[in-house]
Amino acid sequence: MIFNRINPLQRLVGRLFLFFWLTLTLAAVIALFVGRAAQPEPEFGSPTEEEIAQLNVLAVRLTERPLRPVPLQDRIDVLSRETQISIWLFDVEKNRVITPPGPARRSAKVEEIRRLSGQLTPISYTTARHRLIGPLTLTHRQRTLKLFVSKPTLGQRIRPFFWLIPLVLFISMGVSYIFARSLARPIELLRAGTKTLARGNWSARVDVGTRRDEIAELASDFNQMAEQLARLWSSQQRLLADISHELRSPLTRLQMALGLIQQQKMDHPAVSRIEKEVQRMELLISQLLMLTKTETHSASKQTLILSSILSPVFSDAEFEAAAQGKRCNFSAVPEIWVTVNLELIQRAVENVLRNAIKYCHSTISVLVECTESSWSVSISDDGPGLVPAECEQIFAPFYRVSTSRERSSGGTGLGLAIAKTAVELHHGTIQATTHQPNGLKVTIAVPLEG
Amino acid sequence: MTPRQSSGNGSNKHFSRHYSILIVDDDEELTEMLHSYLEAENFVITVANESVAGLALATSNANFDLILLDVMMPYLTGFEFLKQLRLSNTIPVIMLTARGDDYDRILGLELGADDYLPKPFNHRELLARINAIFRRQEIAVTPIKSQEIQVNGVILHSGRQTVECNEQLVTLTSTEFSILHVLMENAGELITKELISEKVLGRKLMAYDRSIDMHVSNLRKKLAACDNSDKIKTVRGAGYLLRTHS
Ligand SMILES: Nc1ncnc2c1ncn2[C@@H]1O[C@H](COP(=O)(O)OP(=O)(O)OP(=O)(O)O)[C@@H](O)[C@H]1O
Ligand SMILES: [Mg+2]
Repeated sequence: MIFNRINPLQRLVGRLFLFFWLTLTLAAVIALFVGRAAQPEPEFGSPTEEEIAQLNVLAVRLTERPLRPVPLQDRIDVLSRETQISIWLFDVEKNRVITPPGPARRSAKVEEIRRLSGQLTPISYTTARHRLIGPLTLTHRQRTLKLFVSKPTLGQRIRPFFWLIPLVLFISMGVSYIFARSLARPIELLRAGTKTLARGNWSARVDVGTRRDEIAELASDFNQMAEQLARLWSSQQRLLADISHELRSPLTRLQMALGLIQQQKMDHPAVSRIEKEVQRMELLISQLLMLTKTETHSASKQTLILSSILSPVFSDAEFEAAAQGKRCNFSAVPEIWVTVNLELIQRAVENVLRNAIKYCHSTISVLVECTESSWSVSISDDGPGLVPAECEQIFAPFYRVSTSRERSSGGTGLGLAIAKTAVELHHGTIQATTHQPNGLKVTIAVPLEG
Repeated sequence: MTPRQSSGNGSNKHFSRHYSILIVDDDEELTEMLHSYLEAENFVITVANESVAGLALATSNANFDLILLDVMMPYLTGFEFLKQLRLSNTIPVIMLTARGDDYDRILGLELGADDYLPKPFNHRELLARINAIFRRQEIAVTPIKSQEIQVNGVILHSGRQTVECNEQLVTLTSTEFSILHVLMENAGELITKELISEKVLGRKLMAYDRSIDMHVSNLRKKLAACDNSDKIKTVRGAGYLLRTHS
């Protein structure tokens, strides 16, 4: 779990970054190796005059008769140290190379000296790393010796490879990160935009700045889509609102015409039937209007004390319940401040309360609680309740459980849809669960800051 | 339109005279039916299908007893109509608002409407609201009941239908006047909203109906304008009481 979260391969940025970095580093390493392999061929040439002179000076110093006999190796060691020059001697008879002190005893060099010792006059042999000058033939205690000096090739005193590694790593890391970010950043923006859109905020747009690539095209497509969605949504809302609104005038006239009929005492049973249907239609229209209004509400929120929001709704519910001979138990309301749209949240609680009163057998109980970040109202009744599958569906517009659809007292099926819309506008949740031993419990939970 | 004979029905025969009602609504077909219906209920009806003309009628000295005012009208909306009317006039007004629009309702009451009725309305409901207003007027003009009550600097003449506060005349709508009357008759006692609703609006208090609160808040504002002390105390969830002293 934890590993998954920190695993960079789980994220696009991490993957791109690692990929680029690895590629760049690999490329750099390969380039270095190839560069080394492709170093210039060793070159033969003639030594400069200074180099000849240096050889001669060294030869003289080596052949000086010492006060007492010292092994040749010691003399070379001393002289090398004194002059700071690597001095090499090839003993022709013994076919042996006497090397200078220090880390220079390289078999490769020894081989080169063996090969070059056949030369009659001093030459220079230059590889990428050193320059070998010699041989100068000299005789020392009846032994024929060939003298060489070697020095590092100018301009490449330090080996390039090792200190370049951290540098390459470092630079490639920076470059890879910038590159990976530049790809992943607009994708993150797009994702945030999609998320906002999915939450129903149709004004979500993505701005990827001055890019002109495929991601920018994707962003502009996204923006077009969002615009289209917003247009569709608002036209649907407007249509619904207009229809409900326009239906009102004919309904009012219909009501008045009914009034005239009833005033004439023409009391046919069909007349009261018409009256009832008109009332239903009226209720439906007003609920529909309420739903569209809630959905398009630009919820202006205010910070209020919770009890001032809930107590008017509770006292109304108590009133309504008492009229039907039912009882309400209310828990104490915590003294907290919450940010809500008063009208919408009151309507949400009211709709749930009215359902509970309508469907309960005798009692409903209301529990108001708060946590650190949210507050909630749970309304339970002792009515018939619902099967779990229906607990989700009752929040859909026009959904009514078939028994209440048949029952003449059944409402429009919009009450809970309105409540849900209102609660979601506050980023809250509304849930129905079966309540033990029977009945339904509906819980509205809303964040403190709305 | 053929005038209907206005006998027989008599659901309001207990009224001392034929009250006159002005209907201001741009829906001609509806006003036609309203006209016949209300005339059959023994009211004298005048219809204005155009709000500007309606306002001219209302502010002329035609002396209507009640105005039925539609909210949604072109040129001059019901709200503007009411605002201008209230500058000079306290004729009782029933607003015909759009159902489900709390804002309309609240605004109407705030601007001084006496009652509201959401469209589409039931004809019995309409009649009940109209009758409630006239019943109140009947009581107010009954000479026996004419008296003067004085509480906490407020003087109410029930005969003249006037209220003085701090020696200034306060203009109240008839609903506000009736509420104040009820409160003053029982000064210092808690009056429930149910009682106010039944006595003043002539109907049972319905759940989710806040019109009493609106009227009381208007009343409170008007009284506060001439005397800074808050004379009406709200008892949350229960009702109101008039303080006998500040
Ligand atoms: N407390 C409850 N107990 C049992 N069933 C319920 C309860 N609350 C809601 N329901 C079921 O959920 C359905 C949808 O409820 P909703 O409030 O959306 O509509 P309604 O009450 O039928 O109509 P409206 O509230 O618009 O007048 C109801 O018809 C009912 O079948
Ligand atoms: Mg419901």
